[in-house]
Amino acid sequence: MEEILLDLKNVRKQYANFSLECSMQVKRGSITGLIGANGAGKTTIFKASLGLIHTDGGEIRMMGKTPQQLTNEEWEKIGVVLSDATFPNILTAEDAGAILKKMYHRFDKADFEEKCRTFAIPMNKKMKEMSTGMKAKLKILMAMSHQAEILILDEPTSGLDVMAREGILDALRAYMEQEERAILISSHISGDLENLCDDLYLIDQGKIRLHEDTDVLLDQYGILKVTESEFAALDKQYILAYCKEDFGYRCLTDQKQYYMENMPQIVIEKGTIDEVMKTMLKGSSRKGVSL
Amino acid sequence: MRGLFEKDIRIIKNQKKMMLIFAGMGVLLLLSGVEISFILPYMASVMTSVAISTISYDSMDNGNSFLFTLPVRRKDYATEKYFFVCGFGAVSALIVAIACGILLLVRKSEMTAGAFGVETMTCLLIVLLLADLLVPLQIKFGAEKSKIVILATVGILVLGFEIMKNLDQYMQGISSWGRNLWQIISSYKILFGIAGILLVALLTFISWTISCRVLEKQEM
Amino acid sequence: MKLIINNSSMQPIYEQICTQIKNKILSGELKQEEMLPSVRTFAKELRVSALTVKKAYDALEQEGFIVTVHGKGSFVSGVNQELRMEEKRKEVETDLEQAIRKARSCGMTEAEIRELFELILED
Repeated sequence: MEEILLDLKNVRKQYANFSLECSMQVKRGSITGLIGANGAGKTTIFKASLGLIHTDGGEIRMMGKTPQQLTNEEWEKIGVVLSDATFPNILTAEDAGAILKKMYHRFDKADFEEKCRTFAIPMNKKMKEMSTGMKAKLKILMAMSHQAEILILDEPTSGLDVMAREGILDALRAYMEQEERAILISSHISGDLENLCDDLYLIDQGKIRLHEDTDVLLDQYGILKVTESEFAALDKQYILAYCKEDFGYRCLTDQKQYYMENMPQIVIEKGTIDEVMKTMLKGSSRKGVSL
Repeated sequence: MRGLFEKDIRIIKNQKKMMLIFAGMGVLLLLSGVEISFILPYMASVMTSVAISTISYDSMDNGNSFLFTLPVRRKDYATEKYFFVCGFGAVSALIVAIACGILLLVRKSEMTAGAFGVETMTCLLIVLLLADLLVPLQIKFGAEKSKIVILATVGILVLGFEIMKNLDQYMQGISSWGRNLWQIISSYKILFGIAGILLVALLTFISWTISCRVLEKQEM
Repeated sequence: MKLIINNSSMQPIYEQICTQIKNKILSGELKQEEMLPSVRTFAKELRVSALTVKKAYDALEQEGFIVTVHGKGSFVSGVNQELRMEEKRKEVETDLEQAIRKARSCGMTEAEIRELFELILED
């Protein structure tokens, strides 16, 4: 069994007013998150990984082969949710079930229908008549009903209310209880990914700005809020980035323990993904552009 | 490919209203005494267009992006479309033909069984040619631009059928050169028939290759 | 297993997990040789990343509180926990003795040593 299920090496894609250049990996047994604003390049990465668009450079390996080299049988191990696309919307959930049954050997129709019932998805309603939330839930169930080894989910929770999101995230966690699976999930709602993912890639304007294990990010990263004078006197060896604020400076560190121990008087906040991103993207980084 | 067939059948099934209208139209035409040689190609081409419209349903709202994340190769998609369009067109043509045949018997008209058979076969071949033309066009240019092409093609089809039926008359009427050519063709009817079928097969293969190539190049 | 994780706390989550499991083992709530939930299942229950749970399990194993059998799962170790704690207390005593010796050898007064000790304790 391959250890690395998806491998992107220096993948480049040039559009008119946007260019992507990145490397990332999704390992078996892992939930990998991709966070970025709309238009940062998340969907481009997904489409390139699935062979939907051509790239201008770099290598893509899905389960060891390029997307074009995979056979139909190997492709059955992949489950996908795209943010804006699904079956023609005059079809119903029941239609989808019948079609998927004929496309995937391991599609469990009874299980699919059971899950639809659990998530309150009507089987005979045309998809164009479904609410955004219902459609989103259906798309995820479709991806999760054929024992895929890797799930590739582009913004699966957008359009869902809090309770529905919780339900989906719980379903994903349960899905991962089978050890050999992996998930690549993107979102611009960082809160969803903080409690789900094992490692995170932060992307902005087509470049990966940070890759870190979630628990390291939550445990060791911190935001220092300091006045001008405190900033001047600050030992900056563990400051990754900083930006000017009304009150002085906001600094990002990956060693908040150091500052907590040596400067207990300064304000230090927990490094949530949102805060880390804000500081990194708004401010200037000390150690160069990419981290 | 079985999944694709299932999908296309369900796309058409979900357009019940439209299908009823077409069926009603067909019945009306039959009862109103319009010539068989008009009804057959007309209904066949309408049904073929319906089958081809599944291509535009597939590509609506970025649907193709999703479709190719399923275990579906570009080649599979193209192949299935030809089989589906021809199959659907053929089945509808046969149903209409049978209905017409029954009507002919009822009306005790003068058409022979042989002539009727030839008309039906020609119709099927024309359905295939129609698919050869329209499938790559739809795939490349999408629904909007192709609608006009479809309308035009229905017209051409009916016209073409007329010409085919009265081919010997037209050929003889054109010129002496035409008359000579037609004499040669008439004497070797079967040979030219087979050549015709091979030609259509070749055209279909070329059309399929073009469709595959367009799909490979497309960014979803 | 019911644990309560404080997501907003400055204490790393894996540490919180460690501490709470240790307490359950010492109080007897978790019996010797009892099987702990798998990493993924626990991560699902607690709604945290699986790596965090793994980190906690690794730390607990290092301290001898649990044992991981590859392919089977993690189990509360068979060694009597009271004895373990007693061992740990002895180790702490030794470390403190060493620290005080060091302090004295570089000339610190008893008062200074006490002050330093209070300071560290407050952290």
